[in-house]
Amino acid sequence: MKKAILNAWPSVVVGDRNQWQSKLTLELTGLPEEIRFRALPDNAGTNTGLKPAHAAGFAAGLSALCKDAHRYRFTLQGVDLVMAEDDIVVADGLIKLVRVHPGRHTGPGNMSESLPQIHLDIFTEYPLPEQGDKLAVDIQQTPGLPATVTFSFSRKPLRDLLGGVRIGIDPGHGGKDKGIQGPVDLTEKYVALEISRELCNLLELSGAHLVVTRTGDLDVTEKERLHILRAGNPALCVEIHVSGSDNPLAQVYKLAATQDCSDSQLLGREIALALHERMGIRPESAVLPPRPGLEVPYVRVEPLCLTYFADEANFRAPLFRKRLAQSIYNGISRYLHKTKVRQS
Amino acid sequence: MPYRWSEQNTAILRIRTHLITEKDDPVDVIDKYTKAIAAPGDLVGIAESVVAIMQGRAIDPDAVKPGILARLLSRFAHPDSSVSAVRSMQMAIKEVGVPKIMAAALCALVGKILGIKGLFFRVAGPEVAQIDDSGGTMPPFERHIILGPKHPDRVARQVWKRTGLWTLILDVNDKGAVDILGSSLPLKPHQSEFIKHVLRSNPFGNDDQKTPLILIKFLKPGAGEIPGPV
Ligand SMILES: [Zn+2]
Repeated sequence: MKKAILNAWPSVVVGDRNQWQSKLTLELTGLPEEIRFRALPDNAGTNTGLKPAHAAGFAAGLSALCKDAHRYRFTLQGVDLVMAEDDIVVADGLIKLVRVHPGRHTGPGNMSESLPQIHLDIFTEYPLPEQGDKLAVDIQQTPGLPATVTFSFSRKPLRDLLGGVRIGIDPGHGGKDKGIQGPVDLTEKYVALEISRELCNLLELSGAHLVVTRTGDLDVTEKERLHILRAGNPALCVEIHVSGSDNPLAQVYKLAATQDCSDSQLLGREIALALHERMGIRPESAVLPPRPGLEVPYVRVEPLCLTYFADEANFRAPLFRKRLAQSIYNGISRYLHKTKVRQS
Repeated sequence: MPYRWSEQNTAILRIRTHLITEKDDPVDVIDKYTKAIAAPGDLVGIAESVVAIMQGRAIDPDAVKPGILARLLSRFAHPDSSVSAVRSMQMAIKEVGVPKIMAAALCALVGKILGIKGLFFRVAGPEVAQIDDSGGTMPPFERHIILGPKHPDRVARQVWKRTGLWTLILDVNDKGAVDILGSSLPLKPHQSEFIKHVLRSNPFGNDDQKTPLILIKFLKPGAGEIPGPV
């Protein structure tokens, strides 16, 4: 059996000693002869090479993913590609995209001596950390069938960005106030809480300090919410709701930001973009009235259209909930990165 | 049982494909992705949902007009089942007809009183049990209703004719349950048990539709060579 890559899948892992890593695992029929690494220029591979089978809106999200990315290339010598040549959307906050594609055969002279090679282009949000003059990437190879090669990237850039930042999260409704109801049985209060929980997990892993208005199915008045948020002195606030419509086939998504606040607008744009990249959702922008006594960037996200049956069904899958939360997280972290760059 | 059908002698290889649509053909897809690595005697499994997609059985919900019966019955379905969505119930009625659905609903009602679960799907049949109301979490099928594959045994035999590989059409869910919907030749009970056992960890992965193919490889050739379909 010839040596070939069969499968590639990303994951995020919290290890012992609270190590937090993005991983890319390849499954192969045999280990490569050699793995080479180099950083790529920032404009390399801007064409996403997408097949028309992708929904048009989603493809646009993908090219946005490649924009402003830091690019690295691992080249595996002596293996072929059985899996499809592919752009794998990762969007885990650190890695945006992984492109797996064949390179030219290399080797001396004639083709029979030459080795096939496969490129693994990694597009990241932030420059990957370095140890001394080397890139801090751990590569583990395990023989067997399937053999695996695992690339582990430290998620320290995200901890540097979010560590110690106070973030306000306000899941809408709760208790007697159910909010919008789905065609089967899901309620907005439940959905908002579940998305918030996933989002809070991610933010906590990044070292952020959370100010949360409700953590269970509780009645919390607008006044109480505002009070909790104000007392927590957050650097930014995100309110979580869902959208709905009288038309059962309509899919509306909304993102509201405080008007006349450029930071709120920026936060809103970043979250909208991240939702588009990861979920293919294009939220409409809306206006949020200012919150008295809370002069911080403030947005309200409606990342799900609960009256639409497929959204309701998808939301029952834990993975879908994680992806929604991940998108919001990506928007928040990118916003923090941009404001940090602006300040320095 | 011949020793080659043992867990220790088995490797499960997952293959990531391109995004499969109704323009693809099951025989071509399996041939393309397995020919470099499969050996005679290996088993190949393909996810039922992508077979259905290739057969054009991913239905755009805009095209489904739910009737009164679908509206009524979907209310009684368990919220986690796909037919709790009105449009999926409408497709179920279209698949098997009103009489069968009515019989299934009646049995489900009796089952409810007697405390027997799952009677609706047992009576309505696999065509209804295999309807998914969410086509997965990746565009472009995330809003479609995916019906079960048509003629799964026939599809499996067609693949076998071209590739020589014993082909299975599988439904593996993220809870580890495995259903064999089609096979290029009849499976003996111990064979289906074996397949269900080795696939219990959901090797398709549930994150998207891009690892719909698995190859079950037997590491040592030998006793119990699998005969071809008759
Ligand atoms: Zn609301």
